Amino acid sequence: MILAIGAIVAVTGGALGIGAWGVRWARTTSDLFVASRAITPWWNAAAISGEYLSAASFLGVAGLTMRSGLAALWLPVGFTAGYLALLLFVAAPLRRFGSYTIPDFVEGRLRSRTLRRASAWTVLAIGGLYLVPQLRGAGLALGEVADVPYAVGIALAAVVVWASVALGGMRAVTYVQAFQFWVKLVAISLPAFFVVAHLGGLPERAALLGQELPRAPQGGLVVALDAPQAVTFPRAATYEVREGAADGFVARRAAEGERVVLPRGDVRLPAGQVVPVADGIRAQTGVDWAQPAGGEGRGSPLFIYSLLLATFLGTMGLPHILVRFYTNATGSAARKTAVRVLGLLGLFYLFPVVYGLFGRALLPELYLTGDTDLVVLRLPAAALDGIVGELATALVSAGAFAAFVSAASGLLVSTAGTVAYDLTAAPAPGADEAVRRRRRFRWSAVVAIAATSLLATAARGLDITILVSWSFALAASTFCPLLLLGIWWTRLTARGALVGMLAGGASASAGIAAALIAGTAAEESLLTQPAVVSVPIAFATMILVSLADERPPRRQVAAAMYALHVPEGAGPPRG
Amino acid sequence: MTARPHGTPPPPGGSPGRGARVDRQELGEATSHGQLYVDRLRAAHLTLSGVALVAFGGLVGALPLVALALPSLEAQSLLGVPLPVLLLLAPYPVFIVIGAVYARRADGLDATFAALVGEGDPDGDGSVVAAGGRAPGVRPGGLHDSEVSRGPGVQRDPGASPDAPTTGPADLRRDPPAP
Repeated sequence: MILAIGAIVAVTGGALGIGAWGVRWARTTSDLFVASRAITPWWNAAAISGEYLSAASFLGVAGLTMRSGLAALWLPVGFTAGYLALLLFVAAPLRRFGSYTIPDFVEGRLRSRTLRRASAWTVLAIGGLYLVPQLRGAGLALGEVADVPYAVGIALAAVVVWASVALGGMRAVTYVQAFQFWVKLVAISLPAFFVVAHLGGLPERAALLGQELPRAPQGGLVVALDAPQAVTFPRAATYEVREGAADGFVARRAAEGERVVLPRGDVRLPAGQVVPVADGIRAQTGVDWAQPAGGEGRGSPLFIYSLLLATFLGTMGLPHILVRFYTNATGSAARKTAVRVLGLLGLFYLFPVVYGLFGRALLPELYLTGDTDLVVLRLPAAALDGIVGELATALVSAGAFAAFVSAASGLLVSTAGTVAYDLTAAPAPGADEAVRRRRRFRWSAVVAIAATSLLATAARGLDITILVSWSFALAASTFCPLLLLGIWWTRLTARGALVGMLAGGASASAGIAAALIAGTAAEESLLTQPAVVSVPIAFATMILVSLADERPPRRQVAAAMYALHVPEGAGPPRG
Repeated sequence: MTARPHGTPPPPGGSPGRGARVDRQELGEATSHGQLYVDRLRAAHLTLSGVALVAFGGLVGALPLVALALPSLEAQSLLGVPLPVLLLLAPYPVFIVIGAVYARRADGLDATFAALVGEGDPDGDGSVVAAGGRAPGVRPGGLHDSEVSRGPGVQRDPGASPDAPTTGPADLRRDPPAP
């Protein structure tokens, strides 16, 4: 535990140090907001990957794999595929257009202030939905590692994130994020190598494959519960409970399929008993668990395709990702950066599956408590003894914290930038204009992080993945059609874009809201992945309304297309 | 000359982004003729991206169906790794290959265009052309030299851009970035 706290402090200190060192460059507004573009594709790619690999990737993918099976691994496939869509359709043209943000792009391309404001609000919605689960994850992880209360953990994380953003600005953030990427890669890969080497392959009692359900290991399984816990026994079982501070264990018996509320205190399962599962988890045999597609829920083909669609198209609409492509020197460099990101993300996503596989084998108690998101943090200690286990635990804790801080600070730059530059009136010109702008940016960051921290404190019981799904679905149904049609289609009108964004955003949010209201009944249902419906709605509305409108002024569109597509260095064709 | 060396800050007066955009947009508006070429460039890029998208969709989009069609997959393993895990890790190399091939060809298209309009990086730092245009095996589709040389846009008029070295475009055409 001391080691883990030390590792977190070291990584955070390193990040803040790089941030402070970068402040020397943050002189003008454009420096602060978008670094001065002299950053190489490798730095940029590491920074983008560092910013992108959030709690959902570092903890969530492994946890979801353990919870619902290998079908969960379509999620990182989609997370990565999103960069391919960005590369193919958006990266170079948007860089050439010279927009910092989507609201900037919208105003430059479609010349509409209304649309700019609507886009700014959408940025806030997507950024906020993505920021809340990051802070929630930080609170949970600090609670696990340092034993601090949930709200205190969130407050600590919020302060660190704000400091790293407000002190540095984008240039420093680029280096901070690149540093955080390597921290995360080492933190997830090294313990995985240790575990595999130590156990020499997959353990036999894994119930990984075949008809087995997860069972209590030799010597039995003792789980301490700090709150009453409802579980379902997939097989008839005998078990013992010790309520609260009572002296001895009391033997109990459960029938197959019986749902029991276990009291606060200790639960003991004799060796070989099938482990009961918390609400929201399906007990799966090895065969079901290892099935990449098929069956109900997360494995159903429609769910998989909807998820791939949302992540494939949604990534380009995440505000903190696009803004980072602007720090490339040219459109061609933006393409190179995107290719490198594909490589770096692919490398990272080789490892969460290791934690999912071994977690199912070695940590069956997480099925009982329902805390499968903790598998990455708990596995090193469960698999490795002594100092190696402690070091590996320290490493994954530092990596998890880096994941929260880096994703959250990128999101904070975007949301605070939106508040400071898009939703408030420009400061009066004057000698100290740059200083006032910078001050406003910092205050916007304070407001944004405070608001999302409060939301995260309230959202403790919420499923971390549904908010992330929501922001991806929202981005795929609003900004994705806006960007694709805006860049490649000359007939797009401001009214068409606005109505299409509203239709897409409303249909995506309706699905998610219905899923939230329905609670666990809708978990893993198509309602939580509405993209397969909402994205076509958004595209169709945007195209039809635009076609009904008058054709936009030819010269204006031609100028925008020129700015988007003509490579740097190629002058105007003369005739 | 109108082209800025890459990586250097834009001219003073306004933030970099807006400066660059307005500057280039004005250039675009100043020509009635360039529109045809820009349209053709855009179409070529869209075709290239579309082909890459189809390749991606075919390879990765088929995977869930493959997994559905082979229900006995989880019983097998290769070098101790269960096959379903390998199936779910297979897309990543595909992404990288598609992305890298696409990026090279897209840079090739840009280089061809740059050479075509006569100011393709005449300062010789190679930032546009070497980015992919001269790479072996790059054959950008859509913008063919033969097709383009018929257009009036490449009829050189030295008076229109006194700064541009007269030999620059000719060099590029003699030593074309792409066939």
